Amino acid sequence: MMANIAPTICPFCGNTGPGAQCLGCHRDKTAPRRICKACKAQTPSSEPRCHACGHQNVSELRWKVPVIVAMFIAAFIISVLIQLM
Amino acid sequence: MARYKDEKVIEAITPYLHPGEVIQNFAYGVKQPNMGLIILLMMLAILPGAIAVALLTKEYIVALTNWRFLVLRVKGGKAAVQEVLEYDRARMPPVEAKTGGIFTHIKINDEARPFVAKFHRMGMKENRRHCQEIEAALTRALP
Repeated sequence: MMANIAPTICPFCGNTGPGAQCLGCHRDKTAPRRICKACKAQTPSSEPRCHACGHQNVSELRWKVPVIVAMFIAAFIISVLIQLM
Repeated sequence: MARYKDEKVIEAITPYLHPGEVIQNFAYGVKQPNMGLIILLMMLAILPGAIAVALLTKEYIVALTNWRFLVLRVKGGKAAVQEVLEYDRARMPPVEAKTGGIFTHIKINDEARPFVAKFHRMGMKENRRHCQEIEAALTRALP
C-alpha cells in the first residue's frame, strides 16, 4: 500500500515536524545527502562541510585521478623498459 | 557473483527508513563511466584501463518502500553508505526503466536529483525480480 506521507524526521537535525522543509534547521529533508566520514552524520551534498562536526568533504576523484594517471605512466614506462631489454 | 547478501543490503538500508516505512523491493546496481572514456582507457592500456574503470564505477543499492524510492551509494564489502538520494513515490519525477536480457536500466529524470544505473540480473540473489518489480512500480505499469 502506498501512502502520501512526507517524512517527519529531519535526517540532518533529527527535528520532527510535518512538511518537506525542516522547521528546526530549515533544510530540505529530501535533499541529496552524504554520510560524513568522521562522524557518520548526514549532511546535504551541497554543503562542503559536515554540519555536525565541521569535517571538510573531499571528493574521491581527488585521489582517484592521480592514481589512474600514475598507473598509465607506470604502464608506459614498463612497456618502454621491456622494449629496451 | 552476487555482490551483497540480502541481509547485508537490508542492514544498510534500515538506518535510512522512517518509522513505519517498509521495504518492498531492493536491488544492487552500478553506474559505469561514459562508454567513450572506457574505450579510451582500455585502448591506452588494458590492465590500468580496467582498474581505472573499476575505480570510477559507482555502486548503488536501491530500495522501494511503501513511501519512497531510496538510492544509497555504497562502497566496499560492508556496503558502507556514502550518499543518500530519495524520491517520494507520490511525487515521483519521470522515470525511464527497461529490462533487457542481462541488465535492468533505471533512469530518473530529475533536474535536482538525477539518477541513472544499471542492474545486472546476477548482482544479487533475485536482483532481476526486484528490479522488474521496481520498474513496474516506478513506471506505474503495475499489472
